[in-house]
Order: sequence, then C-alpha cells, then structure tokens
Amino acid sequence: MLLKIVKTSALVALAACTLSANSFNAQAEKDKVELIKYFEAKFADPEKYAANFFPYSTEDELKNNIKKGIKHMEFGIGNYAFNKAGIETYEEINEMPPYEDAIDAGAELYEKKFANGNSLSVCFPDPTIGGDYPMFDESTKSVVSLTQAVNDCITSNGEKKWNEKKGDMASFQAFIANSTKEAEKKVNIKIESAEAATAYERGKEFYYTQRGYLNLSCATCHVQGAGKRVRNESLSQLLGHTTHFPVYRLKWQGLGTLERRMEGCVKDQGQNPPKPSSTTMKELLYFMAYMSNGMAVDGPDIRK
Amino acid sequence: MKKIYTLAITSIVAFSLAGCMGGSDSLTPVAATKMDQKEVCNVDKLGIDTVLANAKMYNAAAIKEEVEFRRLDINNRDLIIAVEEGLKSGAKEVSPLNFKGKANKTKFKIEYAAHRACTFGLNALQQKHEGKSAWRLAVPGDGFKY
Repeated sequence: MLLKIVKTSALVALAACTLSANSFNAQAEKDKVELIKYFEAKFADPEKYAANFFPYSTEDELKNNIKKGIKHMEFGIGNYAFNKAGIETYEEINEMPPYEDAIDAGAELYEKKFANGNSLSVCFPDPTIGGDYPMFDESTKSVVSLTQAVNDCITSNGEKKWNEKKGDMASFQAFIANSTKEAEKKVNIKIESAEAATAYERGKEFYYTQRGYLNLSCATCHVQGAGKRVRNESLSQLLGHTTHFPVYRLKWQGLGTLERRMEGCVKDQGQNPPKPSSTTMKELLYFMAYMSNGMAVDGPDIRK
Repeated sequence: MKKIYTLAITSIVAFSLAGCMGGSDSLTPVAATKMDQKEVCNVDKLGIDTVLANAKMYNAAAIKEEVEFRRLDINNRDLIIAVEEGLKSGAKEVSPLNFKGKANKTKFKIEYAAHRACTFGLNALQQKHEGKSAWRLAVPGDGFKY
C-alpha cells in the first residue's frame, strides 16, 4: 500500500514537472501560431482582401506582383515568398552566389588553430547548430547569441574578439549556417524556464514598441507593413526573418550578421540602436528566432 | 535685465521640477509625459541656455532608458555637445559629429539645434511611456485585430 502511494506521488510529481516545463513556452507558441495565422490570412488573396491588408496598394500591384495562397513554411525566404518581380532577380544572383567564398573562409576559420593549439572546432564540435541560437543559458540566466558564443570561445582561448557585425564573424557564421542547412536542420529555439520566458517577453515588447523620431516599431514594417511597398522595395515579414543569416547585402557589398541588420533597422526607426551583444539585442533576436521555430535554416543568403 | 530675470525664474522652475522628480538622474518617462515641449523647449521664451540644460536632463534620462534618438546619423548626445561648443565659441551654426565620431556635413542654426535636442530628449521619454501600454495593440492574437 505504502509503495503504491509513493509510486503514485512520484508519477504525479513527474507529470507536474513535465507540465510546468512545457508551459514556459506556452505564450511564445500562442504568439507564433497567431503570427502564422495572420500572415497566411494576409497573403491568402491580397487582391480580394486589399481593404483589410493592403489599402494603399494598386490593383495592378496586388494582381501582378504579390503571390497569393502562401503557407507557413514558404515564408522562410523573406519577401521573395510573395514578391514575384523580386524572386527573378534573387534567383539570377543565386546562380553565382557572392557568399560562397565566405563559406570556405568560415570552414578554414573553424579549423584554424589559436596560439594555444585549440580552435573553434573544440568549442563547437558540431557545426550544425545554426538553428539553436540564440539560446537561453540557464546557468547565467541570460540569452546567448551565436555571435557572443563565438567571441566567448575566442577570448577564452586568449585571442582578440572579432567584429560582431562582419568580417571573420560573418564568414564563420556563413559556414555554420551552411553546415546546418546541409544537415537539413530547422530553427529550434527553446524556452524552458520562467527566466527564459521573461527574456522572450522583453524581446517581444521591444519588437512591437514604437521608437525613434519616426515613431516606428519593427512590427510597423514587418508585421502590419509586410508586403507593402516602400519606394520600390517590398517589406519582408517577421516570419522567417532569422532563418537565412548571415546575408550578403547588395547595399553592404558584403556579408553581415543578423545583429548588423537589426542595428540598421533600429537606426532607420530613428533611435540609437542597442549594441550587438547587449541584453536588449540578444533578447530581441531570441523572440524573432522563436517566431521562426520549425522553419528550415537556409543561410547564408542574399538580400538587397 | 529682463533676460536675467526670465532665466532666473525658469531655472528655479526647472530645478524645482527636477527636485520633485528626485534629480535629473531619476527623470522618468512617466514624469516626462507631464511636460509640454512647446514650453520647456522654447528657445525664444526660455533662452538657449535653459533649453540646452533641459535637453541635457531629458537626454540623459533617455540614454538611461535606452531610447536616445538618432537622426541623420547624429545621436542626440552629439547634437547637445555641438550646441555646448557652439555657445562657448559664439558660433551661429553647429555641425555635430556623427555616431562614429566623424565630421558631418549637416549644419544647423544653433537655436534650432538646441530646440531639436530638447524635443528629441523629451519625445523619447514620452514615447517610452506611451509604448509601455500601446505595444500590445500591434501583436496579432493580442491587441491587434484584423
């Protein structure tokens, strides 16, 4: 009888723990589902639902330049998911991708020995981890971005840290992203504690809060504004935003990290942006990456 | 004489307000919402020194809240520095450094620069306060309906 009570209690405790662990990401999952629902509704038939989603677009634009009936996973390629004119240019450039040299350079950096004989391959024995970052470190109770993890590895081996936005950092991340893509892995961001959920919530709040002298939020352009045109460019959607970094941007004439792109976005809103390895930036990326959970990692890529 | 009198009164008001809020370091977004930028950033009415002092106070709080404005590659702190230096040298126009610390071609009349630095500092704080309650209105599945 006593054994039965002990067994039942242990089972109940285990079930409660499991339920509790699973529930930390409940809000994030709900947010993701709602976001997918919104984008699928928005791009179901842009011409038909123009009044709801594209009030300032021309009929011609909606009919001839925006693809309809887009489903969740198709959003992984940014605005090329719906931008009929843009996809042609994108495919043309991708016939001779300008980031290939960077992948090779990143592979060399992966094996290159530090002065102490170690290398990045010691810190990252599995290079197919592009979809796991940013991750929440339960020991330090903080978000760790891939950029930070790389620099932590380098500095802990007595080397000078890399620029967080371009150069070797971007090349190495191109190698990581490409290895992850070739392994057919997906974005896999985890929220497994109350602290991680709080960090996610702060990132979400940053994303949706209006800021800067233009009083814009990230969402103004990339949720409500996604698919709309600014001059000759179609605004991309939050869903899938983090899957393809680092990117070779024609504007940069080079490869850059996700932090570099986000700094540019916040600057465009009219605010002095958070530093690449600041808590604010990392939590913002944590939220954004969670929204792309389950989507294929397909970096590096090209963007205008 | 009239100018000195105005300056003295506005300084007393400004310091009293700062005192009520526990000093410049603790100026909060919620306290900022009670301020009227047409009043506190009015160079004609208050004089450039007072507006600059206000700009410094608001922008210090904006930096603390991580919401400092940047326009034309110029952080608001650099606009304030340019006005301070302009006042010392007696310049009528100022050309602030950009966020990389490099010289900028952009020039402003010094009064306009002081006014902008003040309104940018205050706007950033007011926006931060409004954003605390408004951001959910943009979240699909929360406040955003379509």
